[in-house]
Amino acid sequence: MAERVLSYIFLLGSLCYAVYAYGLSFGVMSSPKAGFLPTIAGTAAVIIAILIISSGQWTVNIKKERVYWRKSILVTAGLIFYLVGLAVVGYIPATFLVMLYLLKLMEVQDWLIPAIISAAVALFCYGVFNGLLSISLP
Amino acid sequence: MEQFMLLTQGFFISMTPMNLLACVIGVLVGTLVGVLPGIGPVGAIALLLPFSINMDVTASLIMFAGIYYGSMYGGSTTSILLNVPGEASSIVTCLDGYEMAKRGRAGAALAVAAIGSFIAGTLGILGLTFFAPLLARFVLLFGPPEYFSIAFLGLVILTKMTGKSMLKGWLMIMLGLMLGTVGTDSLSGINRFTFGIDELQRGFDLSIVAMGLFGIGEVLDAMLQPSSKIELMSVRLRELYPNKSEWGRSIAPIFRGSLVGFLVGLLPGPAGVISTFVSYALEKRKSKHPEEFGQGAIEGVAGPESANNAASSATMIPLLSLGLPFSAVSAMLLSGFMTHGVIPGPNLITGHPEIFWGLVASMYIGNVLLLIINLPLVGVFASILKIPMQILLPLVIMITLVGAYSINNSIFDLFLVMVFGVLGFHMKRTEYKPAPLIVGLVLGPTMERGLTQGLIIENGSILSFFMRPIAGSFLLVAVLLIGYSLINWIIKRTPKAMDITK
Repeated sequence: MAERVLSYIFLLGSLCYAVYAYGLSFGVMSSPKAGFLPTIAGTAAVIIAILIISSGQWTVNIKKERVYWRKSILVTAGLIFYLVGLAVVGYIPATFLVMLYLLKLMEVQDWLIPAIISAAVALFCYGVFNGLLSISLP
Repeated sequence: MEQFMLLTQGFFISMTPMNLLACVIGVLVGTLVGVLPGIGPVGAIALLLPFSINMDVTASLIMFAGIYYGSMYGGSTTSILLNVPGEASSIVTCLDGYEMAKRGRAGAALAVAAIGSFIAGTLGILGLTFFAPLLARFVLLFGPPEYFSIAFLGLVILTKMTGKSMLKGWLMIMLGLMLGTVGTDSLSGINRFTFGIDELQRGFDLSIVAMGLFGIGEVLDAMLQPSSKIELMSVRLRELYPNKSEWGRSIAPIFRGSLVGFLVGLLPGPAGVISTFVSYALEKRKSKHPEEFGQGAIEGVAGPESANNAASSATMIPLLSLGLPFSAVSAMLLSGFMTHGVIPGPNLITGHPEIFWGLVASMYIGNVLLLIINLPLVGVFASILKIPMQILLPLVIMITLVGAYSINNSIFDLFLVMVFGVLGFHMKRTEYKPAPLIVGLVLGPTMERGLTQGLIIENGSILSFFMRPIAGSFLLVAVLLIGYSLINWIIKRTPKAMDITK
C-alpha cells in the first residue's frame, strides 16, 4: 500500500512538474532555453513512474503496514505541531512539548524522566544555538 | 617530489591545534555513528553542518571527512560483538565476525578489522595523494560536453549500483534533477518552479534535503524498529592479539580488500557497501577452505573491513579532483565545501592547496587516531548501544530540526526538512533509495550547464559530443550500459521468462 501510494505521489508530482515545464521556453537544440532540461527530466520521470506502477511488483511486507501507518502518522503530526508551535509559543515550550510527545510515542515509561529529558534538551539546544552559535531562535 | 613537499605542508596545516581537534571530533563522531544503527555518516554530517558555519573551512572539512572514514571503523565493532551492523558497509562482517566472537575470538576479529582498516585506509589515502592531483590536471582538458558526459555516465552507473529496482533508481535521479532546476536559472536568470515563494529562488539547499532524507528519514525509520535488549560480549585488551595462524590468513585478504575497495570506490554508488560484498566473494573464491565462510573465517572479516575503508578514501578522488560527488556522503561533503564558499575540483588543488593538502594529511592522522582509539576503547564504543534508542532517536530529531533552522534562520527550511524527512522515511520503507535523488540534485545543475553550453558550442548537435574523445568515450559507455539494462529488462518481462520465474 505505502509503496503504491508513494509511486502515485511521484507520478502526480512528476506530471505537475512536466506540465509547468512545458510552459517554460524550450528553445531549439542549438540554443536551449530555461525549459530544456526540465521538459526532458519531467517527461522522463512521468514515463518511468508509469512503468513502475504498471509493472505492479510491490515489495513491502503488508503484515507490518498497520503499525507502520499508525506510528508514521503520529510522528508526522508531532512534526507539524512543532512547526506551528515554534511560531506560536516559541522555541523552548515547543521543543519541550514535542520532545515529550516523541518520548512517549517511543513508549518511554513514566512521566517524570521524559519531562526532565525534554526540558534538558530544550534548554541545552537553546543554550548551544542561541548562546554559543549566536543564532536567534523563535 | 612536489607532492611530498605539498603533503608535508599539509601535515603542518592539519597539526595545528584547531585542525587536530576537528580531526579527533570527526573520527570520534564517525566511530559513534558507525556503532549506532539508524544514524549514518550522511545524517551525522548534516547534523553537524550548522555547527561548522563559524569554524575555519579546513577544520570543518577535516571534521566531516573524519566522520565519513571513522564510521567505517565503528560499524565493525557492533557487527562482531552483537551481530548488529551499525552501517550497511559492515553487514558482511556479521557473517564471520560474530561467529568468531561466539567462539571466543572476538578480540582477534576486532584487531584484524581495525588493523586491516588502518592499512587499507592508509593505502587508499596514498592513492588519493597521487591520483587526485593527476586527475585534476587531466580534468583541465574538460569542456561543457565532457562535464555533461561524465555526470551522465555517473548517474547511469549509480542506477545499476543502487537498490534492487533500476527503474526506481532512475526515477529518484530524475526527481533529483527536477529538484535541482528549482530556483533562479543561472543561465537565463528566469525563476523556475518557485511559485512566487522567495525562499525557493535560491533553490533547494543540499544540506536541508540531506538532513531531511537521511537525518530525519533514517531516524524515523529506526523509531519504528522494535527495540531489543543488548547482550554485550566483553573483550579484554590482552585478548586483542590474533594468533600466528590468524595473522597469516589475514594479510593477503587485507591487501586484496584494499585494492578492491579502492577500485570500487572510484565508481559511483554506495562504494563502501558494494566493495565489502565484492571482497567477501573474492576471498571465498580464493580460500582453500571456502566451507569455513559463514562459520567464522577470519578472511571474511579482514577482506571486507579493509575494502570499505579503502573505498571511503577512493570516493574522495572524484569529489576533490572533478568536483563531482557520486555518492550521498560525498554530496554531503560537497555541501560542507560549498557552505564555506569553496568549490572542489581542479581549481581546489591549485587555488586552495592548503585546504586540499591539509585535508589529505589529516586523513593519515585520522587513520592513526582511529587505530589508537578503536582498539583499547572498543568496549566503550560498543556499550554506547546500551543507551536506550527510545531516548536517543527523538533527541537526534530535535537537534537536526534546530540545526536545519539555524542554517538560514528560516522556518521554511524547517518545513522542507520535515517534508523531506517524512518522504525519506517512506522511501526507505518502500525500496526507493534517497542516494540517487541527492546525487541527481547535486549533479543536476552541472549536467544542465554542460548540456546547454555543449549544445551551443556544437551548434545543436548532440552527436558531436560523441566525436570528442573524452566525452564520446563516457557517453558510449553510458549508452552501452543503458542498452544492456533495457535488453535485460525486456527479456525479464517476456511471457516465457515470466513463466520460468513462476
